[in-house]
Amino acid sequence: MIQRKVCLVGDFAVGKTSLFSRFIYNKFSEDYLTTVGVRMQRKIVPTRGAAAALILWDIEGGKDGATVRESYLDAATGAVVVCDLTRLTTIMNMKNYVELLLRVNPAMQIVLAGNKLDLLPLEHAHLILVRRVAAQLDQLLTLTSASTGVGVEDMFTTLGERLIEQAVQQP
Amino acid sequence: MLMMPTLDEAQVAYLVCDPELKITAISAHAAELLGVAPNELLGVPITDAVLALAMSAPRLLEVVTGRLTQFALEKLNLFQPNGETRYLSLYALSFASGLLVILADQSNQMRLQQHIQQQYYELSLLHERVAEQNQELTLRSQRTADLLALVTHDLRSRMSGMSSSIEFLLEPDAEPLCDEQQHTLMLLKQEVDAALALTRQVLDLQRLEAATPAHRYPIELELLVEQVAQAFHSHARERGVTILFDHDGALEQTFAPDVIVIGDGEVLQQAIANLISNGIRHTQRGSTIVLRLTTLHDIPILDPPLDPTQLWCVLDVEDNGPGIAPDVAQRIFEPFSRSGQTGLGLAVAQKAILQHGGRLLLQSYPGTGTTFRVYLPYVPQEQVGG
Repeated sequence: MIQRKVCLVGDFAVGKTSLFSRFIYNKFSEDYLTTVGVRMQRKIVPTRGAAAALILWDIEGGKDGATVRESYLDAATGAVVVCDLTRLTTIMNMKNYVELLLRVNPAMQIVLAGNKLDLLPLEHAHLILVRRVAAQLDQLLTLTSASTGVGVEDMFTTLGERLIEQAVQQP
Repeated sequence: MLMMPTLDEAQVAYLVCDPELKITAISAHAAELLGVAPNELLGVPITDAVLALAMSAPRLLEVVTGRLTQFALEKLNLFQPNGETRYLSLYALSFASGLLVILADQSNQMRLQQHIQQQYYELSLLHERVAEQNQELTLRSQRTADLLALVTHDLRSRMSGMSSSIEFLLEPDAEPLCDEQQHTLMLLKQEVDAALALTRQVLDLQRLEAATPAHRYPIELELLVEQVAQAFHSHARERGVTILFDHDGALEQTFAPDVIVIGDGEVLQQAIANLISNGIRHTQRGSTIVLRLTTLHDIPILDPPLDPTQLWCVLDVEDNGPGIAPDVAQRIFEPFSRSGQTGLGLAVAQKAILQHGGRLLLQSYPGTGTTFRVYLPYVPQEQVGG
């Protein structure tokens, strides 16, 4: 079974830890608790082909991409860049994180997570914007809600599949 | 391994690995921090024993071979069975052909940092929301202002038409009217003219929303004040009020008697006219309104402060009327705060003065009269070429 390191990055309070907790423990808390440093956990993701063990690194948020400690990104081959769909700046700042990740590892498999989908009315302008940003960055976008669980499992499964594919192509 | 007793004595949490990264020694303190028995990890690769290092074998081997001086991971969150988080920092160094990994427990310091960061981010979130709401309110306010301007403009055109029509009916060579009809038409004209004045002032207020005047040219303030005062003399006389312009005495004492203000003369004229008109309206027969123009040697302390790099002049519009009650004075510059013709005159005056970088203040106590004090930045005559 392949084992890969996946980092969760994004601005503060976008819901990285909530996505981490929903995926690992299937739990969600309404309370906001700032992460200092990094927490990690391993989870096996069954995919259509083989299973992949993902070691998730939930990294403390910053105000822009420049505040992530690069040592946390060492040896990472996958990443989830999270934004809060209700906060415009976090959507726009995803670009900084994507640039940083690709600088550290040009082969990094990246998925963008538009989180807090449950707080946004359908067809809100931010949904159009986040799709446009994803298209400009040429990265896959998943709309998620750590609160309801929507999109969370699928997002990590998709990332697991991509990492397996990459491992097959570049063993 | 000679340094190990020293590290043990100093209660340093450490692990020692061989060149293949298998753990060969672990201190009691390190085992306690990792939540394992000391012997449990012996012979186990450190990349299996410590999750944070699971993918870091290449980096650690670089440290073993000396290609990298050290490898560090700071603020690792470890969850304890009691629900608390332990914060560890990990430093891997080359040691005796293998690796020395030192663990530092920074929990106390990190809990404090977490607390501060939490507060900071909560405030940042609040700030973001306030800024967002502010932007939305500004947009709404702009839309309302645009609509108001459109409606006011339309009303003004229609009322001008009505006023002209009434004037036409009242002309001596028009169809004769009975006294009652004539009286009613005159009352109607007064009302229409008052409404027209209101629409004009609403449009003035709108125009004054801009940060700077639309036109900027040198204005001789003394001359401007004199002209405005002249224009009010007959109206003041009708009301039994005297207007005095006390400029010579004060200005002779200054180094720059010719005060030039850079701005829009029409706008400043309107502001000063509104202050005089307010004085005439709110004083009894026999009162006096004194206009006093001086330059300032010492800049008074105001909130917000006046720019000390500029020259300042002061125009006082002072009356000896009944004064203004403190509760009215507090909101005197708000639209419709004072009974009068339209209730917009002082609001317009204040906006006009602000637009010219000045201040308009009120000094008044019931029974002692009222002074409106205008501070304006000026330049001496010689600086604008005579």
